[in-house]
Amino acid sequence: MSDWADLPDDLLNVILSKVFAKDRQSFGLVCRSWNTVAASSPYRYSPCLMYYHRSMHKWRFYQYNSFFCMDFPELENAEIRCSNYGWLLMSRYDNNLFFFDPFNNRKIELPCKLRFGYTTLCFLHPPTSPDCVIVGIGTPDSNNVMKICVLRHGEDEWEINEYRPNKNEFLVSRGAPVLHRGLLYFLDVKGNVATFNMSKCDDCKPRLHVKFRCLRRRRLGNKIKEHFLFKIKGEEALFAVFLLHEERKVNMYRLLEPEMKWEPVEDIGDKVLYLSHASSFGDTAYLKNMANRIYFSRFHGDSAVFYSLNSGKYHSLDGDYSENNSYGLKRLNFATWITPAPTPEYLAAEMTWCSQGSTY
Amino acid sequence: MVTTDEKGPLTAKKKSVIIRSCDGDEFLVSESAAVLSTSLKKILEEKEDRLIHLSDIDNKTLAMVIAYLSTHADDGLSDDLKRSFDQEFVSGKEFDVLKYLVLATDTLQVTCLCYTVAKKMADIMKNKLVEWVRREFDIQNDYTPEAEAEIRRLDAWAWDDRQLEDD
Repeated sequence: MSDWADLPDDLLNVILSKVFAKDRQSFGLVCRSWNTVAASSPYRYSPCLMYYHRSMHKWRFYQYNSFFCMDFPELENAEIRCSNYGWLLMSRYDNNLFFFDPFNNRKIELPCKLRFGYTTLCFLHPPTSPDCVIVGIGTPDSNNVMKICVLRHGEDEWEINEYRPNKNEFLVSRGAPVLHRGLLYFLDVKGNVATFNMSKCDDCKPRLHVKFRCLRRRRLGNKIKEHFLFKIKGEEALFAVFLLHEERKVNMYRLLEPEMKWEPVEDIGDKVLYLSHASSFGDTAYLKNMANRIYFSRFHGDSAVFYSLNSGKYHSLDGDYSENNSYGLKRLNFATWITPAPTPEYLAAEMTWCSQGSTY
Repeated sequence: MVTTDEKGPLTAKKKSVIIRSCDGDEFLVSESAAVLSTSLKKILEEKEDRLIHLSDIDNKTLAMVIAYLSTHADDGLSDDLKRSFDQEFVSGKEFDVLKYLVLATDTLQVTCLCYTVAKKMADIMKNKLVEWVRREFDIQNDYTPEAEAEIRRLDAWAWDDRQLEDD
């Protein structure tokens, strides 16, 4: 073998899976055939689990059972609140908010602070888009008032909406809300569903709808410990995964509409789910063996743990762990799944939230 | 030349095969070690012949692969010992040696070793310039300066010169 430019593609892909970020760019620059592999590699834009490693003082990325480490001085004293479109929505301890794109090292500061201690905070559309909105939802307080606050692209003040869902308590879940059929869907801790209409409409229709008794087995609602609401690429419906009790039994559901009932799902075929509190989504599995699995932000030693819908068990990627519960696994509650996005060419105007001297 | 593998004299019960490198050296390997390579396993299933000739793997590389296979076929070794063997196996090896090794493990389909070597190569390639990789792999830059500049611009993971580390 003399011509190393012609290494087999699968071999180049193995090497490529072990390099990250700038080294991945270098890889594609070596020669054209390497670039062809890099451009079509499943590793290029596949989800990474990103979290702060306290004792190392570094941000760690986990992708396909490889770890990569990065320094982000910009993210000091900040917490990941939501992640989407390759961007992170971060809040600092002083309640300032900003967006950060860790793959392209870009940052957008937001003009106003967090007003309340929101249970869940999310954004819809990329932060560079004029359609981008940030939504914070605060669980009903002692007066049973639920706050839904909206910050639109180009505006420097939150639109504050207050609701009294009705007699029943609707304790908002930490799981990130999802934009679906033009409405914002979010959950309460018992697995019930609320929808919120983002646009301020003039007709007096209520913007918030809360639906109770979404789970047919109602008592199940009291046992849910973690909630994930998400869409799966290529699927029409909205899905949820509820983890029950301490052993974290996995229950997956599809939302039947308009009845707003959860229908159990046993199998997701060739799809794979990436679930974390700040971001959850499903996609077609790039690698066949990843199909019908749920990746949480859980580890067994240094090996990621997934839940297999085939076996109904949690397994570690190195094969050392295989149990129907998740006792003793390391849970990374502040980690988020994030998918590297290709670098678009931003105009300077897109990189600011409010343009100075605009007509807003 | 026939070299017995490091596990000492083979017992009569154990079947063995002879593997010949492209430069003509022959290695006596136990069948239990050989079948850890998916390609060798297929060859052994298809024909009775106990001599396998590998036309694209040299003796130095083949000797290393066989040492690996024999260690992993040894039931007396714990998984932990095998794992530490893997780590030592790739450490301190020249990039050039690893290149041939990764190719051989790909040809022989020894997935585990292939991954270990690829990881080591990736570690060495970390924070290296494109020019370094081209030189080490002896690859001609077939980009026009315009095309290269275009890729650098479009695919800018704008990391500036921040250090990326593995842990």
